[in-house]
Amino acid sequence: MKKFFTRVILFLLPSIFTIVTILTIDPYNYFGNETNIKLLEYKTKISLPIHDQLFKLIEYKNNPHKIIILGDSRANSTSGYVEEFLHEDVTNLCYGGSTLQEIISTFTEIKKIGVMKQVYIGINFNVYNSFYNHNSVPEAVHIKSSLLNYITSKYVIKSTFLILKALIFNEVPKIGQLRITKEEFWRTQLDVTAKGNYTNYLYPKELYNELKKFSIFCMENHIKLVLFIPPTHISLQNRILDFKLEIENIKFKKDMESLGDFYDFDYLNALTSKQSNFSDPFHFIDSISKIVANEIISGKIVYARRINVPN
Amino acid sequence: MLFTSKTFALFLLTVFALYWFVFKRNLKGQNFVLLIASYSFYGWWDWRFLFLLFFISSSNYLICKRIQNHSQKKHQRILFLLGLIINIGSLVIFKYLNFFIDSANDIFSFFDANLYLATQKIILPVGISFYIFISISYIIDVYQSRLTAVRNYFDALLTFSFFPIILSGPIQRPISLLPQIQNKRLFNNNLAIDGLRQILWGLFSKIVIADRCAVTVNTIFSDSLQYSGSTLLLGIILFTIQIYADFAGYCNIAIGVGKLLGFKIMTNFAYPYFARNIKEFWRRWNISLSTWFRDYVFLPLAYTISKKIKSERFLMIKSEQLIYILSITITWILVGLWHGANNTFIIWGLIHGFSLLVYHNCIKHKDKILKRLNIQKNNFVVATLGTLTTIAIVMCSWVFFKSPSIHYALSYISGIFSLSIFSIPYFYGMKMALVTIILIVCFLIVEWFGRNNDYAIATLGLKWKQPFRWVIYYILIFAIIFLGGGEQKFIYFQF
Repeated sequence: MKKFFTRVILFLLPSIFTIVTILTIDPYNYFGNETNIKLLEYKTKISLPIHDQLFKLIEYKNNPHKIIILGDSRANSTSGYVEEFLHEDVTNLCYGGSTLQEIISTFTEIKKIGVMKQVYIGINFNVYNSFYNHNSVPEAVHIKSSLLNYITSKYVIKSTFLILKALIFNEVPKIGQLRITKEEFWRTQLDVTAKGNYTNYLYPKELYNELKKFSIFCMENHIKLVLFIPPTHISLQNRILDFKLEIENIKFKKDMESLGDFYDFDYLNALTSKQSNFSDPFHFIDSISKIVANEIISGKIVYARRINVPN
Repeated sequence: MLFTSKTFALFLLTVFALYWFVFKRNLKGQNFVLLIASYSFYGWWDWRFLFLLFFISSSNYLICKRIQNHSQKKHQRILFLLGLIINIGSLVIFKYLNFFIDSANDIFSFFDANLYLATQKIILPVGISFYIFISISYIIDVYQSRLTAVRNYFDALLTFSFFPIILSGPIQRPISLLPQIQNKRLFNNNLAIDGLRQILWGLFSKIVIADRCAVTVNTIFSDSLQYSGSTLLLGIILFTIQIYADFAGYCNIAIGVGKLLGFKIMTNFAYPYFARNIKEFWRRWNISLSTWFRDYVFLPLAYTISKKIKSERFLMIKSEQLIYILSITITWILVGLWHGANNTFIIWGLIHGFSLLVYHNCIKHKDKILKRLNIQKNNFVVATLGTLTTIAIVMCSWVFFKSPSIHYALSYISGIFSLSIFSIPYFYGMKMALVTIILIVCFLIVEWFGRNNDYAIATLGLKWKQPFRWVIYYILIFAIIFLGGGEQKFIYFQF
């Protein structure tokens, strides 16, 4: 028996080392807020891109704020300005490449903490599609639900070792960076990504019902619900026509309008017609983020339209 | 509580500590720990299932004790039949009742008569087919005096609920499990290390190979009509690998856990896809089930039929042949039904039964032809052709096994044999496809080189220096953590 345990413990030494390292580095701040500025920077640059749902949901658990912003990378880019204009802390729960399913799951999760007073949700037509139903939020909820799940998660282990490497070599690895030119990427987004989105379009009837429930929940709990459609370049808007999805797009906007305060930036206007306002057809540049944030916070409309969807 | 879950790891650790440290010299204490652990493990799924398990175990214990105590054969027979009725009746009620109701409704509606029998809301207790089969073998063995009825009630309860095997086998018969429960078990260092190694290989098979295949298989089988012939073929190839890695993986974990606790559980898989004919396949696939059916259904059935048929020929067929045809058909219908209450499983069973019949009738002719051509039986080309034919038959049967209906299975097969079979198959994500293919190839290579052992990595690297061997194990652990296909249930849990 003694021999067995000696061998097992010897064999497990690397695992024990891994666990100790995870507990020390705590890449997703499971044990609370990070006070070490350097480590915090590494965590933001490494752990966040590896599993942003996990990172942000733990952050919300550690620091729940009254104002929440949900959506994908486009809503994400406005969150800093939303905070700036509101002069209040905002919890950013937007994930890159997020799906409607993820937005709903995140809302369900944060509802449990129950400190929300204002919720901003940024949704585009390509997200309003039940064909794309991948959802990493339940996985994140599962990982953060217990220490055992946390220390045995592949994301946590991977992040830990990348942070450890960064600490030793003082160099942050590049995670998820593109290796193609801007022009090539622009073309790919229109030809491949948009095609993928719109070829497999499926109206999210059940998910809309879920959103409706949230809208009622917000009304009953005096939570301000703001929905906005971030701008996309006109070339991408035209792809909706290419795939004959105009009716679905109008239905989408009407659905959004029925849920709460509504701002639509995604139509032909001075913002969306200019290519220089965008880094790719889906994503606008920083100055546009400021404009979007300003309009949805102040309610003073310049580029957005509120209830102006043609029948 | 899945074998692949962290909860099970903690559970096993607790049981191991209590079993070897607290009660290390006390057999009764060890068995008590195992009994509590087994009931907790089973009740973890749904505590309501425990009542049926307890009822079956207790009634088997009492009936067998009575059978043993009665000297009159007539009384013994009544008790034996009562035991069979309780066991088979429970299985029928919980597993097949709705199937029979549906079938009866279908038959009546076929003749334009409406029966309108309503199906019942019955939950299927996990592992019911496994522990009921263990119980039946216990009753038969006691009745036929091959086994002495167990006197200790707790030993009996443990026999029918032993947690490593209760959910998906192997169907370890009491004749080999009971002596292990009743005799003192001492900790064996080598057996425990071997158990850990086998658990590791089981986890790798299940989490990395089976669960990765499952992602693509479930997508393809969820709507086969929209996929090309090549994709459908890929789907069934991956399912062939998935079901083996899933079930054999489960069994490796179960056997490994047994070894950790000082038990020797029977081998259930012996590299079936390397079999050179269908008969050999069934000597290697789900061995505990196939031998159970051989001993308790096929042989008694063949014996009974042979007693009924007196003439040498019956309906122009040699009686020997007829006995074989009837016995094998009935046995394989039952094997199919054992897997699930659906017509697809009956067809699956019949494909295997028919293949065995064909093999049985052709083997002599095949041997003669080979002899004439002066080709040896174990010739590489002949062996490879045999293996490929066997795999083709098995793959065809898996389509029925996986499909929700016979019609779906037939359209799936006809979909494969279309011109689109020459197109590039759909596989979600190039990177994922590449990683999966590499992993499957590695898995098959390790299985091939380890095919003479109980499990593929039993002797892998044993002659190497320890650190090198441990590197292999850490690669497997790394793959389990980083390359798994997401937590999926074991396929055989539904049976």
